[in-house]
Amino acid sequence: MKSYILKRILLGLLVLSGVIVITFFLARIMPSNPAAQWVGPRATQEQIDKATIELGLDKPLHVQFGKYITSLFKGDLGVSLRSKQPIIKELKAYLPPTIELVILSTFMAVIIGVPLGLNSANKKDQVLDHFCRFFSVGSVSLPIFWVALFLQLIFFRWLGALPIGGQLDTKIRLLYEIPHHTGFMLIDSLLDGNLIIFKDAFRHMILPAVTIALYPIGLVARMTRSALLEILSEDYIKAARSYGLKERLVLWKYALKNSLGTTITVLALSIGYTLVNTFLVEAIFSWPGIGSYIATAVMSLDYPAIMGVTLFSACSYILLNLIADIIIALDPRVRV
Amino acid sequence: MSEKPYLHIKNLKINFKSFEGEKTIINIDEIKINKGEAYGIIGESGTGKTVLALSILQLLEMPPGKIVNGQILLEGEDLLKKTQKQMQREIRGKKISMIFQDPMSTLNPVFTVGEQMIKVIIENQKLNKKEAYRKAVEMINIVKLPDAERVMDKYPHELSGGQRQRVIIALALSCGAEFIIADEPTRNLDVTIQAGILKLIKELQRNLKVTVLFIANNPGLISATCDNAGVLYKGEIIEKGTTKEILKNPQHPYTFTLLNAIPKNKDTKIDLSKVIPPNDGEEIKEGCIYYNRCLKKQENCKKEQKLINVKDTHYVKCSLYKEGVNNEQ
Amino acid sequence: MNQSQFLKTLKPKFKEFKVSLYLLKRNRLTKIAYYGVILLMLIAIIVPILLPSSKHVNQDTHPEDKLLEPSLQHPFGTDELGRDILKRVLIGTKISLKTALIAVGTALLIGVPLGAIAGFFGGIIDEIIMRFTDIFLGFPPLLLAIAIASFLGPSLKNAMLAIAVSWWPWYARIIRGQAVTIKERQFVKAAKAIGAPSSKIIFKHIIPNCVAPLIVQASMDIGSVILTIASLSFLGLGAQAPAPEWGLMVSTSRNYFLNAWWYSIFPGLAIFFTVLAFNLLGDGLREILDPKTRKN
Repeated sequence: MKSYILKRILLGLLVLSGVIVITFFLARIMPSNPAAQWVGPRATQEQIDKATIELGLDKPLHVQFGKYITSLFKGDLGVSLRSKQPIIKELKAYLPPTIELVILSTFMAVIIGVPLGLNSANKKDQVLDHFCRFFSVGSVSLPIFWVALFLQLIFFRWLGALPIGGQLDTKIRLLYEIPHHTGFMLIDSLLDGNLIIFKDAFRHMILPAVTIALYPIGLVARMTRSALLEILSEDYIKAARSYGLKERLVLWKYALKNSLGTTITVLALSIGYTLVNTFLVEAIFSWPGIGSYIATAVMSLDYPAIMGVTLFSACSYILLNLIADIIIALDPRVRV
Repeated sequence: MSEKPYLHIKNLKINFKSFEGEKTIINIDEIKINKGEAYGIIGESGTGKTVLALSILQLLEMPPGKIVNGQILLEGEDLLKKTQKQMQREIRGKKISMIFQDPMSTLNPVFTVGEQMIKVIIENQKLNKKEAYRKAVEMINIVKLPDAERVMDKYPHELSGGQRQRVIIALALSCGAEFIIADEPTRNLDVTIQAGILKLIKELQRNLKVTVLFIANNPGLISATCDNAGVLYKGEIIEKGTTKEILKNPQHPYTFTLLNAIPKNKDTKIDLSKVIPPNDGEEIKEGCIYYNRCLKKQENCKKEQKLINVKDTHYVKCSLYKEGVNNEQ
Repeated sequence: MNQSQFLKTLKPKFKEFKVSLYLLKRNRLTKIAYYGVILLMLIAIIVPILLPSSKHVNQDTHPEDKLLEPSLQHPFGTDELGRDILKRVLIGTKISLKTALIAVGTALLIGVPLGAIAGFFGGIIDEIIMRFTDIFLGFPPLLLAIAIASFLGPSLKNAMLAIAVSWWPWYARIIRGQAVTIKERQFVKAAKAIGAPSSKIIFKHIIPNCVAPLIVQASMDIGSVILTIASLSFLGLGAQAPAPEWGLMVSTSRNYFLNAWWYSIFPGLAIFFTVLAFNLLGDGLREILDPKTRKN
């Protein structure tokens, strides 16, 4: 057991360092000259040359790499070509709104996806199962950037029920002092006891959260279904029924608890997917998170920013998978 | 035999659907089990013993299973007419419970023994948690597992096969049911542990006055535990009567060869000519289901067969015998 | 006698095929998806013939007809340059299918040899190759493609390359698993015994024997690859204007859709139905071929 966990951690570290190396060298294949970007479109060749030296781009690749690694260890991800701000500082500012979205949609994935998968497996090949299969395959087939536009069309343009984007109404921004404690708007407004801001923030969050949640809901439902199909045919489920236990207990406790390992693994995966999916929709909803940040960075070829977000996302994905594997390895009740 | 049977299975026919079409898995004319007795069903694997057991509790998966016709009467009430909900509320655990054959897979791996027992007791006996705990400990003592309180805290994977099977028996008993179906309860256990489990079931049946349907693939297990028995072959009861009669004086060629396949003591040599031949003879659509393997087949066998009373309560389904004639071999 | 023996060995395979067909037909959803995929392929082949000059449709602008609502003349409406959206969507089918096939094909070209080499040689070579795939799988699926495409510069060709680079590790894994079992088989041992070179064994014996699982996996991947291409194009990292690529069309529509719903709806639906058809078919195929779910 211990040796498994140790091995798993070592593999995680290996993958992590590999990801850092790949990200660094990927950024070097870029055809355009970062130095030219740094100084702007009207710069003279002299200015560009100066910037090249300033940015260390004149040094050999291995020296640049060494410098990159040492600054990484100091928590320095470089400077944005566009805003000339340190990437790490920008990430910190853009991260909370994204995390808020990811948490909310993961929560939805669990409370909708798990029951859907469970009922579907229990009623295999019946109407509900067909619906669930269609829904779960359908939701992973949707281009979510299109879903975002579609929902805006319905709920903003046609029904006028929800705001089109942003985190808060402009009016509210003007009328109230916006709280800043944790960076999470919902929590901050509650901490301040400002229910008006809370309500408005929540209304703004519905469309982006639902858009992003579709994919993980389908994923969780699908995996739960296939895990439970196997579990429900086990003897201990038949036995539990033969003891006269209530169907609710058999399904929601006896069967579901056995699928916990699967659920944990899927959640780790789906958080990773969700994080990347925010890249596609945040900009549509003018949501001030890292998704919007990288979308802008991509358009302006701000390579240190792209590297920073890539590195951050890959690291959290690796970490989540590592944690999921360790939890499953440690808990005898989940391991089976 | 005017006494009304406790469990009465009548003309039960169960089919299974597959891509090749429907296939009859169970085709039983009649089984009567009296209150308080232990009834044995003998048959090799694949004859539908487990299907029969599960269909009594309506736990058979349908589809692919399909009940074509028949009745399963428990004290005169047809179980097949009940809904799943009624089965859960009135029958499963309350009147009938079951001991499954594989101790390795019958216990839920993610709950402790105690958690599983307490849930079953609370459901079926309307006790509170504390009382249920005490009851669970009592049941574990009854099945003769030492250190009951420590067993309660263990997960199934921490117990040995024999220990698990005892826990499973305790679970089946802790429902408080008066009828227990034991589906090859010793199949996956070592021989030495088998004997202990058999003895336990027999004792419990006597002491707690429960009715038992004991399913086994080994006639020896039946002889030790059951009063009456039936022989199941490809879903049909081909011979039934008192256990003694069947084992001492088998009438059907299948039973005969089946019993001959077991050495009586270490000196007997098995007569290989009498061992059941392989399943590859000529198949017939109607008539005796044993036809393709039978050593004594004749033309008559191709007609439809009925159970024939050969002696007292001893019935056999074979064209070698005629109704009312004393057929001593 | 030889012939009857041959037939005997064929019998289980024939039965297997019959079972698969029965299962495939039994599931209505899979059946519909199957016909859907065929239809899409027909569209991809026939439409460019019917509308011979795709340039004609790309640049055939009619400013006076811009952003017209769906009508009999323009069933899907027109875009901001007055181009017929239905025609553009139809032509887009070929772009999406072709790029997806090329991307998956390239991924196979990288992944298959690497996986076969890892599985065949084992030991340190296996260890190195597989850890390398682990690193690539350390990126969330879409992320690596976005990063590569944005560093390579925006174009459909680079998007395909980006997808291939982020997809090959999956194929390498599958092939390696297969290769490990196949290399123990008698015919491979025999080939080794007569001194056949490793490269010959890998390409003549190991890879051909992995074809079946590969085809299944690749066909299941087509759906997600199409979606990824559309996503990259939406971000501006794939196809460039005026190509009638679906993701790009949705992206351009962002400026107009609040007053011209048809502009974004139809290209989006095209992506959805195409990906759905491939995914449902893949899902059905897996359910049929997976012995675990098969028994039911």
